[in-house]
Amino acid sequence: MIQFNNKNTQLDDLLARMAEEIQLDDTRKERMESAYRAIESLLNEDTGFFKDAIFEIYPQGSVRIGTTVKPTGKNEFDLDIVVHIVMNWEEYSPQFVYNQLKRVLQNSDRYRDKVEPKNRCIRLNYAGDFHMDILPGCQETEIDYNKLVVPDRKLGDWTSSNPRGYGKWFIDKSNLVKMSLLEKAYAMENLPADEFSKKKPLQRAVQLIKMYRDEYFNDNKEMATSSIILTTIAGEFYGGEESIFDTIDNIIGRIKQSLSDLNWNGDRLKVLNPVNNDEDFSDKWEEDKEPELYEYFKKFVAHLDAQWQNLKEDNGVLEEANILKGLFGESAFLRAQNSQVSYIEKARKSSEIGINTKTGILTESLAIATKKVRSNTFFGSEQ
Amino acid sequence: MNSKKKYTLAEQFVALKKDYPEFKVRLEKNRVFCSGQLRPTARSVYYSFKLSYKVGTRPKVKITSPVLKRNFKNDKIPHVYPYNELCLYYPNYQEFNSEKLIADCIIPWTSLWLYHYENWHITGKWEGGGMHPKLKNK
Repeated sequence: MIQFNNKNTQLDDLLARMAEEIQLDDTRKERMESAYRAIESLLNEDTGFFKDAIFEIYPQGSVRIGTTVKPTGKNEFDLDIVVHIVMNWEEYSPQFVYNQLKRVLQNSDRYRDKVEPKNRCIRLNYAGDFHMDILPGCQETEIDYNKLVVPDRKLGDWTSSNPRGYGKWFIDKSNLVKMSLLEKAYAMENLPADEFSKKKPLQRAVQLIKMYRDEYFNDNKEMATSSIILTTIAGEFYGGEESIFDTIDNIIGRIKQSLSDLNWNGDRLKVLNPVNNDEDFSDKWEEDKEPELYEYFKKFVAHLDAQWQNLKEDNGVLEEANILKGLFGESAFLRAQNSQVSYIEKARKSSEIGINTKTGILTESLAIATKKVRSNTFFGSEQ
Repeated sequence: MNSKKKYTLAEQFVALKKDYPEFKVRLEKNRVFCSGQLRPTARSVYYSFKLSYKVGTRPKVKITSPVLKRNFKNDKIPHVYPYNELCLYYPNYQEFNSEKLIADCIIPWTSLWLYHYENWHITGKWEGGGMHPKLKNK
């Protein structure tokens, strides 16, 4: 983690590092990719329904939109994939399509013991590693390549879904900003642009909000606000802010404003699927369903808001560290902090570190108005 | 063999004034005094320090505000002399002596010390390396 002379950039870099620490690592990502490619092969080898079917497989959810967060405790990573079939679905029952997928998986020696049927998808348990939720769906019309109808076993009917459409909506929102604060700062320091610096502020904000959600609801998991709600709210309220800090700040501000306005009218916040307004992700918040979830959501937002306002004050790194540890968990914060210290010490040992002679700020760039830090050994005892 | 040149008090004074225009530097008959503010990172608070130096002695550096404190583990502040004067180099290694400039050595080491002091508060560990004097037998 490099040292910036600007405090907002420094904070954004720290936030990005924390988010990077808890996202799906490349090794796991590759493992998950080969797992779903294997499913694709299996379906391609089917001598029954899938033999003549036109289908494709792709990931949906946080893996698709780049907002993965490592699960806490004993929870496993969750990979969601879609089996998108092009067929004359109106001539079949939803149960038929679901059962075809189940048949292939249960007949395979490899997957038989991993199969766990769910309401709309079939879960494969790769014990101790991750689980994969496979959603079978049929393309609803010829003209829209994204909209699907999926079997819903509880409903006993087809239900609408649009994972690719949602993914596109979110990515488009992320791309409202052309170059983020960090990207610009890295460019100015002549550092190479890599996957880390190119990730968009909205993606990082969603990762951090989900991390904070895990921390806040750690002892009360049943009341935790769902990821789809948090991701959708973030996307809806994103205004193209350049920094992660401002992105989160403005999203919190807009949620607060909405909650206040709606409360005045006696209404609740509704989080609709942006690509299908008939679908209310926050349906459970209804008075006659689980309104406590809505109450907890409001408390969760209020707490985040209070901490975020504290972060804005110039109280120094200790206070900042305490706030960040409280929000995102101690271990994520300490990992990012320790990686910065290692970076500084490495530069120090290579004599590549200096101080800005105006402010004293340690810096890796030995430019004008910096004084090199010479080799030294701290001594003295503890007092 | 040429002996290295020793810097006079006046030369130490001039170097400090030139390199750190923000600091207050004062030259007296036997001592040079310097005070100013430093912060190790862009998000740190500013630390006020004062320095006092007599040729041939260890430059004394103190942090006047905020007051240096023990960390959350109640560990004593590492790498200080009595009265919390910062201990910035190992004398036996001659990392600093009268042939070197305070402006080149002591001031940057002060920032580095503050950086590690802050990290020691945040993580509970001093990651800046260093040595401790051997305890004398009582």
